[in-house]
Amino acid sequence: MRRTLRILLAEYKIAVLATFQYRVQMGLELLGLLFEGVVYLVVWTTIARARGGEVSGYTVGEFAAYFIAWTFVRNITTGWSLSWMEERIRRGEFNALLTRPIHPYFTDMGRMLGHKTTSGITLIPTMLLMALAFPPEVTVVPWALVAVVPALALAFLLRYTALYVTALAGFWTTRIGPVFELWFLTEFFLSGRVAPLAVLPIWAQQLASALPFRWMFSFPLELLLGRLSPLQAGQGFLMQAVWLAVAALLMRAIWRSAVRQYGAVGG
Amino acid sequence: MHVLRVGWTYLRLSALNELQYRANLVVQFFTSILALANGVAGLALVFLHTESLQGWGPMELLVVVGVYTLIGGLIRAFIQPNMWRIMDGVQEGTLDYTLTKPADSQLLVSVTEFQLWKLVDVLLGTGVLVFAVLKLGGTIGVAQAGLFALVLLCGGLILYSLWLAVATASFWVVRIWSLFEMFESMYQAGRWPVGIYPEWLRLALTFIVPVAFAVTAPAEALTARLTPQTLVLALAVAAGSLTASRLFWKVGLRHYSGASA
Repeated sequence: MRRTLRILLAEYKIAVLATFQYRVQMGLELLGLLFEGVVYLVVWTTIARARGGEVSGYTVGEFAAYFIAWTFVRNITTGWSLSWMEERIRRGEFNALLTRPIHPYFTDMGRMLGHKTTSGITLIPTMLLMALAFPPEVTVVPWALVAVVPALALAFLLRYTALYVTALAGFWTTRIGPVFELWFLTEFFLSGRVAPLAVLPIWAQQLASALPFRWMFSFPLELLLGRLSPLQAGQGFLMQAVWLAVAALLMRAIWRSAVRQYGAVGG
Repeated sequence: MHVLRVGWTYLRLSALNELQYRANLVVQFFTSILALANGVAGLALVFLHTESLQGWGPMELLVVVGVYTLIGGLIRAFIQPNMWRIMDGVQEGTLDYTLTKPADSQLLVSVTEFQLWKLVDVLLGTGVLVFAVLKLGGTIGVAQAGLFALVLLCGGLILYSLWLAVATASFWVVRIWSLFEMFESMYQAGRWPVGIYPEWLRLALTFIVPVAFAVTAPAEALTARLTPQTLVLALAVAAGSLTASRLFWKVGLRHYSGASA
């Protein structure tokens, strides 16, 4: 465990230093991320205005707050792009990774966290700009602001692990594109990415809460905006823990046979 | 004439090459359907709460989604693969082989690759357009269809010029992949008519990433909203950006010293 953590930390440092070399690139990536949020924000505030200032319990200012916080949570919860994972499997780069005594899940995580740190720093001024363009309306709930920290950490772990499991399908078929596109489409709507879950039809909201999607993105956002009661927050943590355990078990089970299945390129 | 023949030959070669990989068609079809489902579900969600978005009804916004899908397919089939190739070529030095050929260099780099299967999006987009227009109950006359085609062509040319300009920039800055990625994410704004965005954003979507001309204007032509001003502006910007990107390409070439030099 200690050794794993040390390696994770080393990968983290390398990633921080490496991404700082490409500041322009990082800035552009962030602009893209920011842009996505702005588009949804404009659509929903337009509707809210047309309906006299509110949709499903969200006012114009609350939509602004939701999508500004959205960019932050999105930065935290992005996992490795699956096309990159697919590429690594196809090109045989996993050969080298598999000979190392540490699971690539951990080394990749270290690098991921490194990326997030650098992009997180650049994100702060962009969020301020967004707040200037779209004035947010925030209700501060002190206990929820504390609870949001573990909620974010669990959301990251859950999404990261779930994506990793999906990517492992690449060991059987080197074309995982369609698999993950189906996953993303579902996640798009059920995780609170295109809109707060509250605007979805009831059946979709129930589905989002039963499946892991709400817990890997929307939950920390709802906490941050002070929309949850302590009881709901507790239930949320429970759901996060349950789904994380499921994802971790799946990961272990699939990993073993995946590695055996892996036809190394050039091997 | 010679130009057209060279272009046509390259297109045919790429098409034949792609035809070998039939399974890719199935994958592409699946991907395109999902992307379309995403757009339609987004619309359904919006119209769960409102009757119209800034004056655009459900079927009219479906026209926007149709144009968005159609133009996106054209970009991915014709423009994007070639522009990526230019950047790769600069980075790896393979562009030199193209530049030493006797035909016009801009023509050659623009037609080298053609991804046939991406045309699935063009088909789907057209299907959605036809469906939405029929549902709207309006009859599209020859004049209106012609206007739509004209504006669509302008939008396509403007996008091509923009991509070419970005690719040309790789003569100076080799690493500009993320610039492309940023443009792609900004292009997503085209799912909605640009009229809904605040002033500053609308300007950016008109002149920096010309979503306004590429997606909104053709959709306006089909839903009888196109003003003469927009039409004139689209024509002018298309002509202007085509010339400007051509000049920029020439300047870039003169600056470019090749990989081996």
